[in-house]
Amino acid sequence: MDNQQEWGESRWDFTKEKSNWHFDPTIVSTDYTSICTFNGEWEQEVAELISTKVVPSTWATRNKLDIPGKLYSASKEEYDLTRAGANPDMEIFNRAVAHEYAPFKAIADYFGMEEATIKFHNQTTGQQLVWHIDNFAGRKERGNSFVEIDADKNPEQMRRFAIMLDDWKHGQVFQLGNSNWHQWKKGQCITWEWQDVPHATCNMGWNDRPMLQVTGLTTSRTRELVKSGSFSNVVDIGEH
Amino acid sequence: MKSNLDNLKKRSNYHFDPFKTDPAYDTMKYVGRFEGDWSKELEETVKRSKTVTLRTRNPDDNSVYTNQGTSVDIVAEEYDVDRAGGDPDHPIVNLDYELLPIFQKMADTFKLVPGEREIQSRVHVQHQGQVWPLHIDKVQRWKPDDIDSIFRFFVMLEDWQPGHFMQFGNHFLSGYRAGEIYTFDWYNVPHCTANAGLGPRSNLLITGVASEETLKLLAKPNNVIKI
Repeated sequence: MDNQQEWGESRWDFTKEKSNWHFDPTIVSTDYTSICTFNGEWEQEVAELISTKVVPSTWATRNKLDIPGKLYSASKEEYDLTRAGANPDMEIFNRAVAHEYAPFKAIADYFGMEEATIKFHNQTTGQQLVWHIDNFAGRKERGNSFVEIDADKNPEQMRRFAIMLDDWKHGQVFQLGNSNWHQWKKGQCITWEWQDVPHATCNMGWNDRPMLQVTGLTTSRTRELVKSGSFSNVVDIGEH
Repeated sequence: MKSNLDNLKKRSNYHFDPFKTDPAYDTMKYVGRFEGDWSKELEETVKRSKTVTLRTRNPDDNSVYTNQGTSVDIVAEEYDVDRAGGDPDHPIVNLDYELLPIFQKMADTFKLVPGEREIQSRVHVQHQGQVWPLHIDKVQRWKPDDIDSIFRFFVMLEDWQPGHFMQFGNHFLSGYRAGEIYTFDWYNVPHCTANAGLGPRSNLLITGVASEETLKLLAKPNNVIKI
């Protein structure tokens, strides 16, 4: 088929080739965009998700919630992990779908995206999501295949937001490009240019690191929110 | 006490406030830099370094603080990992204690002297996926009655890469270049390291008691030492 992407052996090599980021570690750059700070109460929902819903994920199993079989990209990702001396079966985070939780649905709705997916991540001590560039492998547009989707040609069509569900604790790290985002406050939301900016997360600390990940098809509202983004934009998530 | 971290937090003067920046603690002190080329030796060291966990991290330590290479505090250390839902057998780093001559020369530059323990010099090679969780050092064991005389130096053996994480208090050390030398307030400051990057993160770690020459070196703001 004409529209199949040729990854070769490595996901990293393929996605790096597509990226417009500078890949120079000496440049001081801010490689993420702050969007807003959500104000609300979701401790109960976080506690329920952590205690009863999340499942530990590896690179190969991270999209089991959407794709029951083998993930199309798994062997390319395992190649990268093995090449770097890592264990391909390392745990990266604990994950659950979170559509049914009213505060998280309200957060997702704020972005005005279509067909948004809402995922809850809890990263615990020792878990690590290694340096990578997004390709939204679990999205239905991909069809669990190497097919090139419209967003590959026009990345503005899709966007991912990350919302921290608790204050930052020592030992937690979220690096995007050359920026090390830490000391975040509960509710702070960021985004990044998914096809360009490599990123990684790790929990070297002793506390849970709960986070919401919202991914979807952008609308004019989404693009406006990104343009005017700032942590000083406080968005109240009402009683649910 | 069951928890190693809880026990050590009691003795620390660190503020433990994630949103405060205190320059006395939330920092690494830059000492200077080594100039030279040790890339071949580093390649060899990376190859021969051995993976360790919290339990196996002191293979060659014959002091009273270890029992057949395992810390006497291991139960409390693993309790912390269990309590947080982590895996006590997770690899934390690779170590090489048999320093190649160029790294021994670097270590000797600091003119540290033994205390109740021998000078400890080892190369840490942290590979992707390895995580050494947040902890406070127990280096007072070198000279318990004069802890201010004990120093721990880091020599970065290669340039920083994205995904190389070294956190000291609320400070992330990044953007460093090969050869740079740092020290820090080991008695008080909690710290942790991990590697989520594409290549190994290697540094030489030297611990011992300061001599007069060590203090002279520390008194200079920007040492440049050719190796």
